Amino acid sequence: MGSAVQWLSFSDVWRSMGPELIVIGGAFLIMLIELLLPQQQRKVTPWLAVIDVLLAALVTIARFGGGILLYSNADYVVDGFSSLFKLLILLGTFFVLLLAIAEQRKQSLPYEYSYLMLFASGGAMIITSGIDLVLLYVGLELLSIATYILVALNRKDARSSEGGLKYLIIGSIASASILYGLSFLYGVAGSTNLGQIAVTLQNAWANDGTILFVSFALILAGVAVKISVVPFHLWTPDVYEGAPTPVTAYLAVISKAAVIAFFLRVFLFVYGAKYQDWWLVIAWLAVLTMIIGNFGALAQRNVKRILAYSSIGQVGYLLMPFAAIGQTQNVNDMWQALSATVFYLFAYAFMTIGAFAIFGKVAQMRGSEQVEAFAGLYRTHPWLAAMMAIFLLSLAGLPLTGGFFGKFMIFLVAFNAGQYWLGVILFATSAVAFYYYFGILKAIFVQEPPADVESSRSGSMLTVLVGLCALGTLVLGLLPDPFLHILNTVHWFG
Amino acid sequence: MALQPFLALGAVLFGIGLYGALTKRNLIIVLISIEMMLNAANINLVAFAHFLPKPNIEGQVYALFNIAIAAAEVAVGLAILLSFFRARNTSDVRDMNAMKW
Amino acid sequence: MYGNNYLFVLIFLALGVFLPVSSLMVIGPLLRPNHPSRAKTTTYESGLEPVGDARARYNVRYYLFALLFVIFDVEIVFLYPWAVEYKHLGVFGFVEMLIFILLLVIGLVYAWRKKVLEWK
Repeated sequence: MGSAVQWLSFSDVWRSMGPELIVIGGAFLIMLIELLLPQQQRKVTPWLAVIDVLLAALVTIARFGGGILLYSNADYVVDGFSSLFKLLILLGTFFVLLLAIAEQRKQSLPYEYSYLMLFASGGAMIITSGIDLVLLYVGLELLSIATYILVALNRKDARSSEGGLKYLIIGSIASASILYGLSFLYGVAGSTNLGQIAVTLQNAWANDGTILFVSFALILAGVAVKISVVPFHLWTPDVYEGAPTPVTAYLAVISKAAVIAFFLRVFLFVYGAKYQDWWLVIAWLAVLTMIIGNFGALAQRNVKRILAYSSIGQVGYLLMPFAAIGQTQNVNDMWQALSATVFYLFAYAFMTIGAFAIFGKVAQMRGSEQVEAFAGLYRTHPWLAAMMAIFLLSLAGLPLTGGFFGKFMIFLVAFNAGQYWLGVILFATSAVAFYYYFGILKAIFVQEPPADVESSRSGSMLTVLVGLCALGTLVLGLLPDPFLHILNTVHWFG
Repeated sequence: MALQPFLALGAVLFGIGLYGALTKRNLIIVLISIEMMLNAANINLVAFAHFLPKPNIEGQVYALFNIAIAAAEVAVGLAILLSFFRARNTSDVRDMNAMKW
Repeated sequence: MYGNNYLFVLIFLALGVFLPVSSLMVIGPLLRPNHPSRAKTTTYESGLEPVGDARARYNVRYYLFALLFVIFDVEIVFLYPWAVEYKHLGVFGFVEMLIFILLLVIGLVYAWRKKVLEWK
């Protein structure tokens, strides 16, 4: 905000932040509508949120590939990276909203979730586009604070508020750690703009190396908590178990994707010059996360906690491309790593939301969250059972699914960069993952259903949602070429 | 005055806050400790804004945003704490034990 | 020229004395109903018992009012710098600030409709 300030015009704001404006403005509108409608008519509000998300997605797609646009003194950027992450966030929000509507029929979640999810997604979208420390932090906190409320939303269940409280305390400590680290970045570079920080820092490592290392460690620790990287993962199973199932899916997919975007943007911009010095830290964190996440799931009998531990393991896979390209200096490797991460995030979104959707339905029908609750699902609900099989096999990484192709791409990145050991650990931990997913599959297909089970219908909404998720998973596995083409031609960074 | 005393104050505040947030048993004290951590960052930002080779106002603006965010965070924190208190009739960290791994 | 300034001071001083004295001592007693009771004569302590242990528990409902205060608190934090640079920021800044205040008003309306302002 020096002398060469360019003033924004309203059309600039619309062109740069259109999707965010739709999502956040829509959230305020829906909040007012929910407030003024009588109690019986409030069930339209989630549908309004769905329409809002679709509108924002349309605007994002319409601007996709329009080149790189910088706004507001280069504080806000619309590039391929941000557009792809925004699409992922909107897609995830769309599915989670549908899941919440489907769950709503039986279990009365207050309708506040519809606009709280929009606020959180708005924050997530700001993270993907902001290249200013202030914007990044405001977006991160908008996402975090809205999700704290979402986790604690089910006031009838004491576990929900306990999970919310745990998430709030751990998340706030992480935010404070990130903020403290960012303040040192500002102190060294004298600017809050990531581009200017990147330029200044290339010369600053000689004098201020220590303080920059401190800021690196603080930001990394905070980010690691937020995306539940081992050894900062202990909150994850508790919070996932306590939160209402749609919110768990939201945390596992959208919240994680947004913080990974934050991580990639900040670390590649700011610390990119010293990449050779820190890639090994990321590599070890990824390895630890893959191992502990997958082995931790073995000890669990509660399916929600199994899925929580499996999502910890998936974060290890998501971090791996960046760990792998550490020693190579080739910029094409970085684009390949970004492609692999984004591809896997999309596949992860489809299969995770689908798995949580079916879990929520089964837990509701059988009144239990244990693996045994899935017993004989194939007899009573063949459609749900088949879809669950697709999601679990994709999470485990069986060929013909999106999960397999994503893992294959990640493996290729590691292979090209010569980091064979990371590839080996990827496959070894996937084999472990097979074991606990197989436990659920055995319950579904082999065990007999309990005698007293009533044959309730699965609900058309849920059937459609699960079908869409399965379709996405299979398309990414069988016909990945169109999507790969987009990933290969996109201009990643502004 | 030099920059270092302010940074030292920030570091001490952050350390006390982190220690309090991780060890205290009363959830209200934990929330206060988190506020201290955020304010440590604010002190850093304002001090840097003043003592930079080319002083600028961005650090102060950043601190203003952080104050607003911290207010929102603690408001939500107290609200969730209240709902936890209503469900369990306690505000002790050790009683957050309905779910264990 | 500068003598006028002291005249203004004098006028404001006179008004400053006259208005509170007239409203408190003369107009007020004429207009207000007069029903003294024991509770009304105690020291005002925001609804708490004024005498007793200092470590008394506060009613948790105060917390909601404290939250509402935060809305206006934060509003001022952003309004003040904006007001200082008002001319410099121009129409864009003005509209932005109007939107900001509108969003805070929505928050207040929300609290109002959810019956936060009522003491049950």
